[in-house]
Amino acid sequence: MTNEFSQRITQALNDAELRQNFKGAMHFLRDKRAQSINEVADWESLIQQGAALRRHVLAQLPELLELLEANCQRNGIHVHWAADATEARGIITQIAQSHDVKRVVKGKSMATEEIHLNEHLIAQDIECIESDMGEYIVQLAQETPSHIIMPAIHKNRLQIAQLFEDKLNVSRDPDDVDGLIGIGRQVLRNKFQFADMGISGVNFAAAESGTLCLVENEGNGRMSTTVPPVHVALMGLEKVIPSLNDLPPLLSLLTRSATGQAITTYLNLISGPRKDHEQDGPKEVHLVILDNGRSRIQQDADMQETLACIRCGACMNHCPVYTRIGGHAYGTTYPGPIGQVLVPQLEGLATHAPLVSACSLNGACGEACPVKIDLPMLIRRLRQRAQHSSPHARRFEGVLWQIWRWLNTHPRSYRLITGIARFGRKLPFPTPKAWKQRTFPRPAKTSLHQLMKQRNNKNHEHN
Amino acid sequence: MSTTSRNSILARLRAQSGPERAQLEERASTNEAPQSCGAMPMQIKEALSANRAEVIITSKSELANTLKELCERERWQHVMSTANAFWNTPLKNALKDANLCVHEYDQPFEALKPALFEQMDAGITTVNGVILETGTLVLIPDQDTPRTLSLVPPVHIAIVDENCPAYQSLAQCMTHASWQSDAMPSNIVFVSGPSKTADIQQTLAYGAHGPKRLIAIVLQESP
Repeated sequence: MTNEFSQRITQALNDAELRQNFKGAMHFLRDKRAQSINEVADWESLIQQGAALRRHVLAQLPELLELLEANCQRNGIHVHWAADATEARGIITQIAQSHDVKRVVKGKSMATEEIHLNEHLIAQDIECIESDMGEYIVQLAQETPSHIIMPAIHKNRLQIAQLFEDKLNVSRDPDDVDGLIGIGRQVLRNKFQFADMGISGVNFAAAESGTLCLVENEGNGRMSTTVPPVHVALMGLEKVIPSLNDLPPLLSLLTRSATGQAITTYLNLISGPRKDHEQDGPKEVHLVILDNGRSRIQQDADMQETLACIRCGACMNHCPVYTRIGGHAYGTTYPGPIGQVLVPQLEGLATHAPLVSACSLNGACGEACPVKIDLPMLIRRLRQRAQHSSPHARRFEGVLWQIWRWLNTHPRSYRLITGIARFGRKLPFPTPKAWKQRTFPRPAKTSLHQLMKQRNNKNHEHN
Repeated sequence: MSTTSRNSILARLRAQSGPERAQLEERASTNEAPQSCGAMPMQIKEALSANRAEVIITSKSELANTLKELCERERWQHVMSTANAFWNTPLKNALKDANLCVHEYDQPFEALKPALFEQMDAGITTVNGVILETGTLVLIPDQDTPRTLSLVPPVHIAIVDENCPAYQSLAQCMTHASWQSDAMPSNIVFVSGPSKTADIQQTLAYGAHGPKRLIAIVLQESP
């Protein structure tokens, strides 16, 4: 794992095109968010409100989920509970088979990525098409999303035009983005029209009214949940909110943090299937409530905050590590800071320990989080746990700290060693190959110790 | 089976009482009742056009004429409209000699699906509210105005009636809207502009999967 992770990091760092794509995209998203936040009279109090609301939800998760279940059922929505990915896939497959489903269209959903639903359905001979433009591009390229909001952010228009030419046999000028989108529109309209089942995620689920809230700009989410005769929605169990009155502040935090929008083009509130007198809409709506490790996180008082996340992606947009290595290097469904915190807890810290080391503890993710999740603290806690579970790493670090302590308590040796180190840096050593993409920090002309000494001397003169 | 999973998930969640219940701040809800759109057409226009909706202001008596001119200018051949809308008969009369067919959404979706996907140039729907702060249309699809009418045709024409409520914000809409949490419409859609995407290198493109154009016709109160 360590090796694979560092190999992917090295690979990403050496890929100039990839780095340029991420640098541009992160810059763009950070700017959009900053502008959008400025429009809000009191962003800080909106954040306070959202943070309190999400913690309020975590404090009464079981009650809210039961209320959601009861009200969805009253509205005619079938509710299923899945303890893990296998059970969730089983439930969805069974629904598909009972309707003899051959073609599925999907709206963007990270929860379905988490349970690897596509591969599973395809293995059952069910065509499964991603309909979000970014997801569609990623699926065509046989890749996974590299960002939770903008799945194809790692590709530039030249690469996408090339992909369309290779896979769909249509060529377009890469600068004609409208034309490229037009290709996707044309292909996918046909998929919507003839799909037997639509699958979506859920952004928020309002318990009091039994309402699934979906946020999107393209219209593919509405298509997937409206046109096919069966709609299945998969939600992580933490996505519940008390009522629709709680939606406006959370929605504003989500869309402004994610894409810098005051609101998305579509906010789709689904409270039931087609009623008898209605002309359209799915005849059946299913809600699958997914645990897959979340109730374990809920039980862990130190880490519970992880579940407050509303999946806006601001933490990865502001993370200097993510910006440099991109989403795929993490090798996980959820990349970036929230991925580093969430995935080890969902899938086990033992296999994912190296993930939590990919952090410079700069704190940017925590500052960007619109619901005040202390991500740097959560990463530190996981690091500590990873450390405790690895006796080898513990011994090595222990020796390092002993040397550090000895040096810092023996001033003469400290000065000698740091002096040699400073002098050594001036010698023309060849840079090791693995470090080629790094820039060395230059040691200051005068050390902190020397500066303090000078200041003390000056003070003496004044006295 | 699902029941066992349900109970074990809920039991696990109950095992941990959760963090101290955070004190919820009072929701900043305005108690003010919404105004009506017909009284403030210019403000509605400004709000909606900020999201790239094309806005036409007219009056109820002129609506059929306005729609006719629009259809002719765009050289549309088939439009589908809310069933039993007050403008249907005058519009059909006005277009009797034109090369344009006005359909009403008066059958189940299954029967109209090919027409909606392949034939219609535009869908004409009613509107249930406007949100000024975000330039948003509130649509509550029903028997006469099904969900797909504002979604599948490449152009969505939204008729904003004089009495349509104009909410200041989404929060005000949630507090004042006519639906009750125990009798929710199957679907409510908030639409802020035409369908769009920035999934190709952050370049904004309109007409991703939903309507490429959104045209709002605002009916102002007659003086």
